[in-house]
Amino acid sequence: MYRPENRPRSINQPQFSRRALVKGAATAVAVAGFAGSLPALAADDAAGPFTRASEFLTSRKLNPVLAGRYYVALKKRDPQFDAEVSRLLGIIAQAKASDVDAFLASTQLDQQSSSTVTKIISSWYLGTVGEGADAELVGYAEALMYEPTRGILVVPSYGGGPNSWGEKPV
Amino acid sequence: MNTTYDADLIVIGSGVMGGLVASAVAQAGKSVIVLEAGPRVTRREILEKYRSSPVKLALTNMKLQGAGSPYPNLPYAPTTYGDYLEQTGPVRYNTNYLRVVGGTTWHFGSALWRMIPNDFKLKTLYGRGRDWPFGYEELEPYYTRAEYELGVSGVDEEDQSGQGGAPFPPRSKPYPMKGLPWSYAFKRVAERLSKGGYNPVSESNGRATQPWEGRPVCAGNNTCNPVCPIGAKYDGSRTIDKAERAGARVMENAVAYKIEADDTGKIVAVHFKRPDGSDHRLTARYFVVAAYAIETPKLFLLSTSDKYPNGIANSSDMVGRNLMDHTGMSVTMMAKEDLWPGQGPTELLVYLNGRDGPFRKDIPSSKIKLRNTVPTSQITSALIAQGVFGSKLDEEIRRRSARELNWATDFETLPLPENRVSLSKTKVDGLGLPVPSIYYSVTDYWNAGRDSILTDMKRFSELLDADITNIDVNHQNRQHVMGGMIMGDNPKDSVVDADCRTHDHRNLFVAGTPVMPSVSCMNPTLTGAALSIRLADKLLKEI
Repeated sequence: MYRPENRPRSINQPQFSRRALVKGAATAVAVAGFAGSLPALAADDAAGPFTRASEFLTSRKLNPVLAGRYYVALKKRDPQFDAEVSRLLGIIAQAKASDVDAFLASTQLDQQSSSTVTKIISSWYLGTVGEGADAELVGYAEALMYEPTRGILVVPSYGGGPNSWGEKPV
Repeated sequence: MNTTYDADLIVIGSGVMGGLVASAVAQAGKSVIVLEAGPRVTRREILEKYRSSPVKLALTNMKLQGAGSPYPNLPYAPTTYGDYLEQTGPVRYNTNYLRVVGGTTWHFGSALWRMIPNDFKLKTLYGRGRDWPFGYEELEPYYTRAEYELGVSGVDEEDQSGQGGAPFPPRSKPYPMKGLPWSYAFKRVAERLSKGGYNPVSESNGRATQPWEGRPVCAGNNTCNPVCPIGAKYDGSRTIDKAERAGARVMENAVAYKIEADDTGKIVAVHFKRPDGSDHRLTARYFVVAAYAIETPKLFLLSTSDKYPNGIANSSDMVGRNLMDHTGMSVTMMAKEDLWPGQGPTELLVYLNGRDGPFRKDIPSSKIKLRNTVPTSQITSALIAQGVFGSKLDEEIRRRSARELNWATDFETLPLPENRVSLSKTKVDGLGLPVPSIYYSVTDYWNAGRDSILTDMKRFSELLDADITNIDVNHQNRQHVMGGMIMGDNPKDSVVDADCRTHDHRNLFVAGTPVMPSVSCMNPTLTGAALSIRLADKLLKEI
C-alpha cells in the first residue's frame, strides 16, 4: 500500500530529485497532451509563472505535475488568473525579499494580491481548489498541510500499521 | 386461506440488527428474505470516493456534514447528509444514517458498550423517564453473544461505571479481544486528569486487535468514520454476508413502503418499490423491521388502511414518538505541552465519572470523550482563513495539532412523546414517498447536564494546564438514533413488548435501538445487537 508518511522528508528541503522533476514534467506534458485542451508545451510554459510564485510562497520545490493541475483548476475558475499571478510576481520581484517570511513582513499587500496569495497557498496546503459545491480535489496525500506533522500524524486512511502509536512522539 | 409464503421470515433493513436476526434464522434452516432500500457498496469504492473527495467528512466537523458523503445519494434512497430529513423542532436532529447493504455501521466509530444495571431502572431509582420491562441480568447473556458476534475488543479489568473500582458491569465471559494500545496523548492526559479524581476508561469497540473472522488488526488509519480502509473495524456487511452464506436472500434497491395486515390483525405481506417505481409484494409468516429509528417508524406510519388509519402497530399512538439521541456538547482547549491527539483510532479514551449516581434525579448521565481524529485539515483551513502564511503556517499547524484537545460529551436524553418522527406533509422522495419529518427538543434536564459538564471542563483545563478556546453547547447531534418504537409492558403507552414484538400484531417485531425505553449515555449499537439476538431466539421458538 502507498504510505506517503513513510517516505523520509524534510520540510524545508527540495523533495524531488532532478530525475523525478524531468519525469514529472514529461508526465505533465503527456497529461496535457492527452487532455487535448491546450498544446502540450504551451500548457507547461503557462504554468511556469504560477509554479515560480507557488515555490516562493511555500518555500518548497514543488511537484510540477501537481503544479500543472493546480494551475488548470485555478485558471478555470478565474479567467484573470494569469494576470494576477504576473502582477504578484512583479510585487515579489520589487520587494527583493530573501524569502516569503521577509516578503510578508515587508510588503503591504493590496486586496487583489492578497487574494492571489491566499488562493495559491490554500490550494497547495489543502489540496483543493474552489469553494463549497464547486470544490475540486487536486492532491490528497500530497497536500502540503500534512508535511509539518509527517511521521507523527498520518494522512487519514493511510495508517502506520498495527501498534504504530503509543510512544511519545519526537 | 393462503398457506404458501414467499419466506418464513422477511427482514426489512440489512444493517447490523437485521443481519443478526437474518443470519440466526437462516442458520436454523428457515427461509429468509432481507429487503434493503439502498444499493450494495464495496469498501474499495467508498474508500476511493473518500480519498478523492474535496470534502473529507468526519463527524467531528459538523459544519461540513451537508456537503457530501462517500456513500451513495439516490433518488429512491436519498442520503441523510443532504436535506432529506425535514426538521420542525427547536433543536435540529441532523443525524446521518446510511441506506446501503450493511447499514450505518459502515461509518460508525465502533464504540460497543454495555449499559449498566441502574440504566434499566431509571424511573424507579431516579424518577426519570421509563424503566425497562427487564433488567441487566436478563440482557447480560445476549450482550456476551453480541460481543462475540461482532468481535469486540475491550479491557476486562475496568470499572465502566467510571468510579475507578472493581470491574463493572458483571460479565459472564471476557471480551473476545484485548483492548487497543493507548497513544501517548491518552497516557499523558490520563496521568494529569487522574490527579483530579477522573478515572480513565478505554472504550470497548469493534476494532480487531487480533485477526478475527477475516478482519485484520487495526492499523490506525484514523477513518473509522466514514470507512475503515482495511475492514479491521466491525461493520454490518460482516453480518449480512454471514446471513447470505447461510442462505438468506438479500434484495437490495427494494424500498419497503407498506406493511399489510389481514382482518385478524395478522401481518401477511410487505409491499416495496423498485427504483423504477414498480410495486412488488412479498408474503411471510413473520416480519422483523430493522430499519433503525427513523425509517422504521416512517414505514409503520406509511402503512395505513381502513382498519389501521394511524398506521400499523399504532393503537397506542406511540409509533414515531420518544425519539432520543445522546445530544451533546464539546469543549476545545489548548495545552501548553505537546500531546499529539490523532494517533491511532479516532476514539478510545473516555471519562464516566458522571455516568451513574443519585445525581441522575437532577442531572443526566454523561460520557466525556477525547476526540482523536487527525486534525490537520480543520486546523489548516482555519489558519489560512486567518491569513497565517509562510513558515508561521507550518509552525502553527504543528503546534496546534500537538496541543489542541477536543472533549465531546454525550448526555442521556429522556423519552418525550413530543420528540417524534412523523411523515412530511409537503416533501416526498424520488419514489413519491413522504420524507421523515422530525420534531426534537431538549429540556432543563439537558441544560443541567451542560452546566455540570462546564464545571468539569474548567477542572480539566486546570489539571491539564490548558486554556479553553471554544465551547459549543449548541445541542450537537450524536448520531445515536434511539426510540420511536418504544418497549413496555403496557400496550397503551408502548409499541412493542419485552420480546420486541408489536403489541398489536403477533407476527411483527422491531429490532435494534428503536425499542429502547431508556438509553443511558452510551453508544447504543451493542445494546441494539443484544436485543436483536434475543429477538431471534424468541422467533426461532415459533417459526
